[in-house]
Amino acid sequence: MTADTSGWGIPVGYANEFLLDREILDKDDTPVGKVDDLDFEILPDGSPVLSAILCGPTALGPRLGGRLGTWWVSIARRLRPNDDPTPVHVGIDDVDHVDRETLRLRITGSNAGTLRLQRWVDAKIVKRIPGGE
Amino acid sequence: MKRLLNLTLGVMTAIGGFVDIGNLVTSGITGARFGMSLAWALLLGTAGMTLYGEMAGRVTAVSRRPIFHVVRERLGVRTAMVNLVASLLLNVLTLAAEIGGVGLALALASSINYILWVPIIGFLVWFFIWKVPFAVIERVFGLLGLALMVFVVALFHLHTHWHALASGIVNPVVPSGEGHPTWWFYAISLIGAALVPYQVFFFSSGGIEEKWSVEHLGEMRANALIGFPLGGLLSLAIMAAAVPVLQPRSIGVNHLGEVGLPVIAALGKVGLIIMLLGFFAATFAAAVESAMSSGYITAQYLGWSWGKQVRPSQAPRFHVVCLITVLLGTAFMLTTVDPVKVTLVSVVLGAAAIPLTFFPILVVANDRRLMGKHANGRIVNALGFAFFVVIVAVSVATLPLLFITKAGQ
Amino acid sequence: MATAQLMADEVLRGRTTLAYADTVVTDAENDVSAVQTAFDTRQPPDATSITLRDEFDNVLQDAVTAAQDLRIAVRRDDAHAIRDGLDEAAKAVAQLQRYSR
Repeated sequence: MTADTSGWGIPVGYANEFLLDREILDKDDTPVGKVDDLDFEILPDGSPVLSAILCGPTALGPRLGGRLGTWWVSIARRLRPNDDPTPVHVGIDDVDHVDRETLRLRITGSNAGTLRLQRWVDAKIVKRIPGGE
Repeated sequence: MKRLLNLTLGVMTAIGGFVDIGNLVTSGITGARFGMSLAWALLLGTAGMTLYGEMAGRVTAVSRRPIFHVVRERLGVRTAMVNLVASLLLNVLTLAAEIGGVGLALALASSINYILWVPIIGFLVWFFIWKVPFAVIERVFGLLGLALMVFVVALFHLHTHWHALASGIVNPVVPSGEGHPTWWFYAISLIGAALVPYQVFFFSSGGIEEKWSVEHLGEMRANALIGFPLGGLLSLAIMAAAVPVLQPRSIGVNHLGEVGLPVIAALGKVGLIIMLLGFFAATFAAAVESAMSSGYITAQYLGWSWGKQVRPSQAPRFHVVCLITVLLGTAFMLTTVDPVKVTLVSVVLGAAAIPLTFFPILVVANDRRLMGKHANGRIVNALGFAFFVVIVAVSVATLPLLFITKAGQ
Repeated sequence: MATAQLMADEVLRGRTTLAYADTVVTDAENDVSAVQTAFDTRQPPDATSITLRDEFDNVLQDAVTAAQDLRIAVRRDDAHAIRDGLDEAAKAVAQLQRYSR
C-alpha cells in the first residue's frame, strides 16, 4: 500500500499505527532516524491531518513517558545547549513515498536536520581513528 | 551448484558459530560433575534457540528489517527500551566473558597469563569490527569453530560407555552426593548458554547485512534448523567427553584447561592443537558478535545508520557504541575477576532475561500485518508458546537458585 | 589435585604441549594453595579442634608442596621429577582422603 504526498488526510489512529516508530530513509536510502512522533494540524472543519514527522530525542522522550522520558529529554537538551530544544520537523511535503517496508524522503538527511549527532560523532571521534574515513 | 555450496557454507558457519565460552564452560562443568544427567537441559536450550532463531530470521527476511526495528515498531517504545537496556547490559557481561575465554585459550596455547592477553584481545575485537568485512568474520571464524569437532572424534577414542551415555540423556538422574538445587542451577546455566540474546540479534542483523529477503527463507531456515542443532550436538560432545575422563577422577572444571583434558587423553598433541584453534575461533567470534550486537540494537532502536556494509564514517554512532562496549568488557576483565565465574554468571543472568528478549520475537512473528502468509503457523506457535512457558519458569527460578546454591557450589 | 596428576601423566606420555600443561598445573597449584589459605583463616572452636586443625594443615601443606613440585617438574619437562612429584601427590591425596572420613 503506498500513499503519495497530495491529500495526506490520514486519520490520526491510522497514522499512529502505520507511521510511528518507522525507520526514515532519505533520498539516498540512508537511514536518518525514526518516526519518533507525529505532528497534526487541525483543518478548518476540525479534523486533524498529518503535517509533519518529528524526529529526535526531544520527540521520543515524551512518548517514553514518566521519569525516563523527562530524563531522556533533559539529556538531549544538555547535549545541545545552544540549539532550539524542539525536535526536528520533517514536513509532510518532504516525504516521497510510504509503504509497508519503507518511508522515504525527497530530501537528504543533512537537509532534514536529523543527522547532527551523526556528523558530530563522525567528526570528533570516528575521523580521528585511523581508517575512519 | 553454487547455491548448494553457499548453503553448506552457511550451515557450517552456523554450527561453528553456535559454540561460545558459555557452552564450553557449562558443558565441561556439567559433564564432569553430573555425567549426562543434564544433557536434556542442553538439548532443550538448543531446541529453543533453533525455534526462536528461525522465527527471528523469518521476521528479518520477510519484513526486510532487523528484529529490533520490528520490536520497536510493533511493541512500542517503552517495551523496546526495556529490552534494549537489558540486552545491552547483558551483552557487556557476555563480551567480558568471551574476552576472558579468548585469553584463557591463548594462555593454554602460550602459557602466558590470560590477563596479559586481555588488552590485546580487546584491541583485536575492536579492530575486527572496525575494519574486517562482515563476511570474513562470519565465514572464517564459523568454519574454524568446526575444529571443536575434535571432541566428537575424541569420544570415539575414549572409553566411552555409549549405553550409559544414552541412558543418561534419556533417563536423567541426579548423581548421588549432589543436591537437587545445584543440579537445577546447572540445568539453567546450560539453557542460558544456548539461548544467548546476542546470537539472535546477530543472526537477524547479519541477515540484513547479507540482504535477506523472502527468497532467502530456505537458506535462513537451513542455517537455523540444521546449523543450530548441530552446534548443540557439538556442545553435547564436549559434555560427553568429560564423562569418561573427568568424572571418574572427580576432576571439577574450574578452568578452561580442564575442559580440554579429554581431547588430550584421547588424541594427544594433534587433538590439542586443533582444539585450541577451535577454542580461540569460537570465543573470539563470539566476542566480536556480542560487541557488534550492542551496536546493532542501539542503532536499530534509535534509527541510526549501522552495519559494516557502509564505511565507518557513514555509521559512526554504531561504531562508537561497539567501541564503548569493547572498552567496558575489557576493563571489566582487567579487574582480574575469574573468567570462568564471569561466564557462569553471564549465562545464568542471561537465562533470567531470556523471556524479555524472546517475547517480542514471538509476538512479531505472529503479526499477520507484517508477516502475511509467513506468520507463525499453529505448530510453531504451540511450540513457541510452550517453550516460552518453560523459559519464564527458568527465569523465575534463576535468582533464588543462584543464592541457594551460592552460584553452584 | 587430580587435575595436576592427570596433566602430569599426559606430559609423561608426551601427549600434550608444555604450554598447556604448564597453565593447567599452575592453575591446579593455585587452587590447592587457595584451599589451604581458606582453611588457615578459619578459627577452630576448642583445643581438640586445634590439634586436629594443625594435623590437617600439615596434610594440606603436603598437598600444596606436591602440587608445587609437580608444577616445577612439568615446567622443566623433567620426567624423573614428574614421576617423583606424582608419587608425592598420590601420598598427599591418600592422606587427605583419610582425613575426609
